[in-house]
Amino acid sequence: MLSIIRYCISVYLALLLAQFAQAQEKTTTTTKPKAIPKPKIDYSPSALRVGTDIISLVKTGQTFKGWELNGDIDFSRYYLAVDVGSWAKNLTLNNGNYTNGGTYFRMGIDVNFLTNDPDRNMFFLGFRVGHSLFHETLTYQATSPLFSPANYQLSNGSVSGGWGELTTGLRVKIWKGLWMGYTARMKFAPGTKGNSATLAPYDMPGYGIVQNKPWWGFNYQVFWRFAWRKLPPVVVKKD
Amino acid sequence: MKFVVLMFVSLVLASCFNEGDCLISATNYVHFQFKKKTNITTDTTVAFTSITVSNSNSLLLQDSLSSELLIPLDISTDATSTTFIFHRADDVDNPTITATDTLQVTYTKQSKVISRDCGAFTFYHNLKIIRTNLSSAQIKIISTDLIKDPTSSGPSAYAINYQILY
Repeated sequence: MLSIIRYCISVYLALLLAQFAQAQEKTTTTTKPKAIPKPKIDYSPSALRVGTDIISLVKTGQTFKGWELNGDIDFSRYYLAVDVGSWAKNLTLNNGNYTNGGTYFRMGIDVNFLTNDPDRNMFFLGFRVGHSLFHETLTYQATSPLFSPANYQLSNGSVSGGWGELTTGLRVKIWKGLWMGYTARMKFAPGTKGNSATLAPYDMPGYGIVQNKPWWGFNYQVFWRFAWRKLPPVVVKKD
Repeated sequence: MKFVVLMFVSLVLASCFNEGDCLISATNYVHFQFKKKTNITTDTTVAFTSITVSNSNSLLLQDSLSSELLIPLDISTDATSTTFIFHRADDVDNPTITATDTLQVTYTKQSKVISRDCGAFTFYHNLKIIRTNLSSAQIKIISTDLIKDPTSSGPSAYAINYQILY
């Protein structure tokens, strides 16, 4: 009899505890502060930034002639970036001469990681897809014991090629619409088609030496930013 | 901040424009090895009285004993085949009995610029025997590309192309 009473008491206490715990849980749920709704991200573009690569202009001389135009347009912290350029090389080799020339473009997305900067300066990571159309000629002298030297003259009339790029860099506002910055590129997976079987493509405008995988690129750029609407001021978050 | 950016730019620029080492794997030499018919793993020494290569007036070698040879392909721009003529003693111990073997090979060529400092070179591929008096059982094709290891020297640096069984 005593054990039945004890059993009943313990069951009652257990139910009481469970009810208390449930009540506590309800209390905490009701006291939880309401989540502040995030401000809606404005993806509509505000400006077009157009620039040029200073390094290409400075390098232009006897062995290299080239230019490159760069542009990007903002979609919140994402930027659609396009580069268009041209280069031609005239290289004296140890045993001959190599020339090429062509145009290229790159297109991709940059993601800005400096979202709290009041001047909207950028530190970005991104990717590009590149495409090039070029021609090249090679003349050189081959030598071997037993034979007279042989003078080879070869050309690739119209070669197209593509590659991928991972990019990083900075864009810094200097004054009003004037911006400066750099882009460092890791170029990879070059591919060409349309070359003759007798001459392997050597230097692809926009990419560089085709046999180097990956290959590196660097641009130091000046931009002018053409804005068509004002963006709201950036609220700097303080820790 | 801008000074740091400029410093970074200078450092990256300095590291961008390096030229690679001049390691050339291109060659126009065909590597022959001579093996015993009875045991193809054993070298055999052949007494060559002379070897000639088409489009060349010079003899490659004269009166020489060899178990392997490097013989150049014709490098002329329009050449797509080369003929080798081996004059040899049929019996090493009796050089008065001679034999002549002829091998004509075709190939494809591709020119590549290695770098400005190294220059451009011809790479030979798809080596194929199109004419010979040797039986097919006497010729073992090892590699159809002409290539050498630029880091070592001597015949062993060259890829073996054919083993001829005597």
